Amino acid sequence: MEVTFWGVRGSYPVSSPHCVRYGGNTPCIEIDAQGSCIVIDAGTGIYALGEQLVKRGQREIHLLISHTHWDHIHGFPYFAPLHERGTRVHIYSLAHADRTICQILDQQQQQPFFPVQLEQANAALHFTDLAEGQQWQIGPANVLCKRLNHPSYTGGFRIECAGKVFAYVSDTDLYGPRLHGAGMGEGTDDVLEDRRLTLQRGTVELAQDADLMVFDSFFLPDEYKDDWGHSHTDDALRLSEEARVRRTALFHHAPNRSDEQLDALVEDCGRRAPDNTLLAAAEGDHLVL
Amino acid sequence: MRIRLWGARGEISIPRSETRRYGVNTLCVQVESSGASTLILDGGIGLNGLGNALFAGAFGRGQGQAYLLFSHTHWSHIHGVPFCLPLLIPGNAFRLFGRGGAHAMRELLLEQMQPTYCPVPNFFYENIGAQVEVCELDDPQPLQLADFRVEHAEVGHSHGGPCMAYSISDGQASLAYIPVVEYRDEASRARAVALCRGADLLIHDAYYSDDEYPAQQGLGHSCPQQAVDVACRAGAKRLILFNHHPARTDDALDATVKALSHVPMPIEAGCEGGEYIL
Repeated sequence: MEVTFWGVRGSYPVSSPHCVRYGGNTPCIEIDAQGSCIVIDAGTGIYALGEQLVKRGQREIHLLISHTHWDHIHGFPYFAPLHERGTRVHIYSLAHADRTICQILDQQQQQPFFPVQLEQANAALHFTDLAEGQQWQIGPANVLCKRLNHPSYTGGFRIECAGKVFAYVSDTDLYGPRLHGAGMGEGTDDVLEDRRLTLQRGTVELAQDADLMVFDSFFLPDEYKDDWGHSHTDDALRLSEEARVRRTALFHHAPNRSDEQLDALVEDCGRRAPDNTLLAAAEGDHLVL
Repeated sequence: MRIRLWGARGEISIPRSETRRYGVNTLCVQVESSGASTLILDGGIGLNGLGNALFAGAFGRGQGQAYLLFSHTHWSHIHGVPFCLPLLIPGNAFRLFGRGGAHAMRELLLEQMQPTYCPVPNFFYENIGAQVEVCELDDPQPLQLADFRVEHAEVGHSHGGPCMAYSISDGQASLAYIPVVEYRDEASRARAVALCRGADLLIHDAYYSDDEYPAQQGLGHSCPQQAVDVACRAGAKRLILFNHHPARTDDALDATVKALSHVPMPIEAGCEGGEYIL
């Protein structure tokens, strides 16, 4: 499996001098699973990836959307393969209670917000609303989706292919005291605690023995807020140890996180977890598992 | 009047090395009057940076007051609103203006705050964050907002809803703002010329290049030649080309401006961080 980062920034795209090296595009990751093209999330990073996929003549694309907050779908209308005849784009996202992923993306392209409607796409689009815990096959890859602790409906993904494991765990407040997801916050203390532990166990299942895990490191430990639905860098180390992850990529960097801060984080985390060849994901990083 | 550009890019912000000098934040312009009132034109991604800057002053203490005028509701004009920090601070007061057309402006702005799409608490509701009032621009009369006099005109319908242009004066200087427009006929051009008559500064749509425009006619945007034409006919004193195509590189923008050096008027391509004192 080969993994390429096209967008690593959280919340919104940033183009200031403080983040030139790690990059300012919002989340998008490309996975080459022995020839099958898997894309995770449609932040602004998907713009440049789309141009590349058209140049390469990629006709079959599988797009996994972790959730539908703006920073994970904002680039979707600009994904060039949507406008290519003879191309098939399969779109997967965790099911919402009240609307389909197709409706959610369609709404983004309605007037008076956007000039080109989804139904005008030349590519054939196939939508799948995933159940929690759903497993399916994309070419040679086995994919698993588990719910994460983040507002609305958010899924993480585990992709196994040719004996290697990739895990995508963003966005989530993994060890926080609150439940953030839609429909998750109601119930007795016991019910809530049980849900919290279930979400944590599900996340460990996604990450177990991963060769590479991408993890939501929006906060530094001293910035952490328990009502946002994001984790911090120490959580990345804790989960990595718990699930015996071989390599961890800090991801979904806060808009104000500078290149120097990320350099320092990698050095600090690297010292504390010497067995993990940890990195802070940067736009353009290409890793072979 | 002090003007600062926080975002001059059209459509979508795609950070990359070829666009670093002019920047990729979508549209947002800050206007400070000589009496220190704050008015903001459009709320694209540039509004995030402006919000952070305002937060360092009175807006961080919940004592800020600002007016925000939208040309229309395409994403590149409103997508910075959820992450504009001062809107989350109780005590601040914002009045938002625009023309919604078939839908109320408030309803349109609320769309992007839905929890399906937006992780930020909805400060449009009472008791959350700043006091936010949305005003429909259905009266053609000019507005007086603190010490700003604001004239407005509808300049196009090609975006599925009304598209507004503004002329802003603080009694000492005037700014005309036409970020998105396509002139379908002489009448629409004359309306724009009337709105920017004698402006000290005109910020005008130049999404397409002059070469690209003929093939893109009808899609709702202008090119530099049309911006120059309106600026000259209106007797504007200075022109900023604005709303750059996402693929337009720094070098291409430099070349565009160079090619207009024969025009007897200062012309620049709008650049993130650019400041003008009128």
